[in-house]
Amino acid sequence: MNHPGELELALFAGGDLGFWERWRVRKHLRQCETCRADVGALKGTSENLRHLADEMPDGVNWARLSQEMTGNIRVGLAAGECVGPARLRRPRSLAWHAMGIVALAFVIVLTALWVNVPRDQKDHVFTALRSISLGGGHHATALQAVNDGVVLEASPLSIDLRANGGTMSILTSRDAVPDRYANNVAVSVSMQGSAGAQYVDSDTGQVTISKVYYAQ
Amino acid sequence: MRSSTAVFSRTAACALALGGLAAAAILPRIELPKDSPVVVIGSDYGDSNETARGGAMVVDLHASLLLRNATQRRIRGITLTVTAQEVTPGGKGSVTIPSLDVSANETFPVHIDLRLLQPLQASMGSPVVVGLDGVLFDDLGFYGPDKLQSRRTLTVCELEARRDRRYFKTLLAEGGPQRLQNEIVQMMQRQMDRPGVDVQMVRGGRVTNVEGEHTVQFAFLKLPDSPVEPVQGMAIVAANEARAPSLEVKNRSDRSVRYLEIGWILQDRAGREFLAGSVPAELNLGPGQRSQVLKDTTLKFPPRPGQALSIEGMTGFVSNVEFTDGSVWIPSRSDLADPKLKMVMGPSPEEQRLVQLYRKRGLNAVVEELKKF
Repeated sequence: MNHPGELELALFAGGDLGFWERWRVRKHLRQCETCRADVGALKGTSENLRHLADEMPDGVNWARLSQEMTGNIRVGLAAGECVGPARLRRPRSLAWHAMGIVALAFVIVLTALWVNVPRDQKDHVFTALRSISLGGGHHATALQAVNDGVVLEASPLSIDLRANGGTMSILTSRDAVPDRYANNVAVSVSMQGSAGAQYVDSDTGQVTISKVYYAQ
Repeated sequence: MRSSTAVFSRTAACALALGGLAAAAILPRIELPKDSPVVVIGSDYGDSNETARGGAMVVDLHASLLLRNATQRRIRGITLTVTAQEVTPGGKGSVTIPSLDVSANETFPVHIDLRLLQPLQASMGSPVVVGLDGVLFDDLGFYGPDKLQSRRTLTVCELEARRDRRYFKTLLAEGGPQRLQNEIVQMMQRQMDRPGVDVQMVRGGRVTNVEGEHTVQFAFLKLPDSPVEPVQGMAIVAANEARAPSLEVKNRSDRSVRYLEIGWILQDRAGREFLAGSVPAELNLGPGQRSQVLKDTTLKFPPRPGQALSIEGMTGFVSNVEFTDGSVWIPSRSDLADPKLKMVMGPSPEEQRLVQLYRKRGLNAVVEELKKF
């Protein structure tokens, strides 16, 4: 059987234990004759003290005396803190300093790069990050973000799609067009979001209109 | 077997992408509706390939399909869709063949030469799909899902073809073969002389920051038969850049209009004129009603060596109108005879076809061709 400590029994006797502790000690006392006797003795001592307090000489204010005593105890505890053994601060590891320096240097390099990178390249990075966060660029919102920066460039020889700093030829120069369309290509762009080329087959005369859509 | 080969080729392409070089053969999947008016008789994908570039797969498709008219009606035009990835800019394309005259059970070729984009992630195991967007018949009947508004495109082309063939026939009847030949030679000359410019277009903003912007009012070409009349319009211009065209139009016909296009002619400081493009608008314009057409689009004309371009004026004209009943209006040949339009307007597909026929096989071939219609 685990017996409560003397301190707990003393506090129980004085009615200063918390709710759960009091319940636990009381439960123990019901089964333990020894502890019940100790508590009884402590309560008796307490009664004696109260009687002695009642017999104090005139002019002694017990309440005020009690406050002063409490104050002195606090001062004593604080003084003990001052003269006691000093708490040792754990010395910071040198590795943390090095890591801090590296992190600072990294931030400086990133800032310098960001300031000097052209805006379209920044847009490219933003778009890539957005694409990653949206799961591979399959979302309509990602598409809208891309569309805002898309430039279609049409010349008599080709149609190029420019976005995020990169260029891709959708319909390339006449050299890349099959021979049957030689010298019979006309390119155009539409404000509805498409670029097209109109070919005439030099053998059959059949006209083919090819379009690529860059927006919905 | 086929899918595992495709996966292998795509995986190999991805693996080589980091090295900057990758190429793999591709095999598109053809998906036609069960009741499609055309059936595929043969296909050849030649040197089609796909190459990894950055985070995307560039699909170079060079395909020749042989289709057969499976109906009893004559086919006048067809539009096929080619989809590498539905929502990627540059991931979807189309091939339209106007000016056809394909009778029942007759075969005809369709050549697909497109370059499309496909995200690497999406390219894994998903082939390029060739589908049908629409078929136009000689009675202007249409079959197809029409997701790309190919009904309108094919109808405009067919009406232009009928108009131009009628014009050629009139020349032939009034002035004989010599008159027709003279006109064809002049057409060829105009095609050569027509000014070509480079143009950059961006939606939702401007191409560059340019100072000195000012508003320029549109002048309009009056086409007497046009069911829609442009009333006023303007765009913001700075040097070689024009943006945010805004137009007010009035429906002067007795039918409701659901779509129109206004041709946009620009004049530079040297007095040269060229067709910059057209301003399309989908609207619901009842008889007598007015409406605003706004486009948040910027056009920029990069200078060529020795050909700096500074926009000084703009002219607009109604280039086609679609009514709510699906019928379409196009300018007549007399409308196109306007000197300004004559210089800048490109030839219709049918005019191109007949002129090419003249180049290749001579005047008699053109005359014989006209007799078929």
